[in-house]
Amino acid sequence: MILPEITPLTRPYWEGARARRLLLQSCRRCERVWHPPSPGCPHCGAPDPEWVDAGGTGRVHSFVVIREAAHPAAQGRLPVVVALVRLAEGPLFVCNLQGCAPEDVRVEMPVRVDFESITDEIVLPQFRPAG
Amino acid sequence: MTTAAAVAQTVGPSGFARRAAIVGVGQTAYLRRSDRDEWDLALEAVRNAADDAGIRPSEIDGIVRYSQDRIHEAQLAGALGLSLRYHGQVGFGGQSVCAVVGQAAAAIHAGLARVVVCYRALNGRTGARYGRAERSLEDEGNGTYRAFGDRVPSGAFSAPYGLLAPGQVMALWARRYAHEAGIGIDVLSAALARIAIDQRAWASRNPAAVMGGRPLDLAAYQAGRVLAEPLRLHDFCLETDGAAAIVVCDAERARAISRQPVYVVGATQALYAEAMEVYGELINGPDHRARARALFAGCGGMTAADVDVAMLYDATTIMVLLQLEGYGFVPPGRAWETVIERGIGAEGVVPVNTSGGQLSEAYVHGMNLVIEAVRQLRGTASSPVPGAATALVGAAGASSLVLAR
Repeated sequence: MILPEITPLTRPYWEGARARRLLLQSCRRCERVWHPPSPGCPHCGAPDPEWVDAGGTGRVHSFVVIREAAHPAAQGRLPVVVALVRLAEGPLFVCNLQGCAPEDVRVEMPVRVDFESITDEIVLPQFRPAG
Repeated sequence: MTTAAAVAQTVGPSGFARRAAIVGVGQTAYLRRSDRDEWDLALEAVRNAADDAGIRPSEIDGIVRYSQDRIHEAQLAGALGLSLRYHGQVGFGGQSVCAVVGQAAAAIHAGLARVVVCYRALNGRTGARYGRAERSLEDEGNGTYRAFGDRVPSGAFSAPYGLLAPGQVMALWARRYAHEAGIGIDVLSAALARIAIDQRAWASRNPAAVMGGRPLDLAAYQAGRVLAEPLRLHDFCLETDGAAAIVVCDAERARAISRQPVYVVGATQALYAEAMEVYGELINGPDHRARARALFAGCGGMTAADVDVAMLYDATTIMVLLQLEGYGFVPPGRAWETVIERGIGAEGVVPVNTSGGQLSEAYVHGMNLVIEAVRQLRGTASSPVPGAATALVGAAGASSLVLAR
């Protein structure tokens, strides 16, 4: 089991996930959003971003079917589809594509967010086919 | 604008204009198991590079190295009896290989040092294996591992999903490339197979290549196990124990001591937050192509067509395909077709990775690619490209080097 380190910067994100909310950071100046968290806007450099709820929809930008573990910790989850989802808001988001056999995944397939409890503390935002 | 593009910084295209030259190259044997300390490997490569340059190691007064190298400047200086005037490090691993050389040339140009050595030493097979994420996760016991930071792969926002190794990220690139090029995975695989097979053919003529005695054909490529679909075993670089080093000095001294100085004509350094990342554009994207055009234009108004031989950073085959487009050798979305038709050997749009590269010679974080470029320009490569006068070393656009004899 691989768990994320939680830092002061990323705590709101993980607390949001535990409440089954997908949070993104948003710039108070240029109003663009991004992921993963950063203390400064990657678009315009403004400080002090705010957290906003993502709509939870997107499309599969790309995906990889991992059939051989690159680390013993990943052994238990094979084969696994790691998808790169283009969120409706714009950012790319790494996740697993769930509820879909590897051979049925397609690039540009519409997907929606779901949440997977890993431990009492960690819930991973995941995606599955929309509709 | 992508996150990556927003933080991109560029140093070059340089005005190096032949003010610095590579005068020595050196390497250890490239092995699956060295049974030696990385420190010892580094010293051998540097001594060999100094010998090749015709200088005593004690004449080295500068070091520029990868920050990822575990052998630090004081270890090298101490064991070789160097009196340093300058030392520097470049971050981000293999994508910075050309920046290591570029900063050596810059230090010389600025008068901070006269003779600078650049090196990379790693037991990449028997030590920490980059392909297996052995550097990145912290073992907390009871089968629990912790992922840190925002790096992709292996950071807190990717490792929990099982995305752990650079090659897995490149599989994401491969799938996206096929989609954007409008080709099926079978066609993409035909192009990637050709890259793996052609680099193995180059390696068959290189006595130093780890895979020199092991020819690869299409059937063997297709029989390779799928590690990160759509990438198979032979799409991935080697893991190697070994070291490689080069010696750079000012042009005047280079002409005095070397019959075949290889000049640094241009060098660029960028920062795509990680060039091995997933959040930015693919490395054949508009930003990469614009940077490549600017690099070449800054080298006396050349274009990709003026490159006689190219070393393109090859952690995986898909990187080579993407860079053929990113550096402008073929239009975007067309490299698959060119590679299937012409390959990347002597008949290719440009001969690529003529030592076998990191797929088939050795994985030394790109420093072996720099050495091969030097040998091509000297005419001493194991598979010389006739008349080669200008070489490109490209590390995914994150750093690039134009060398000329």
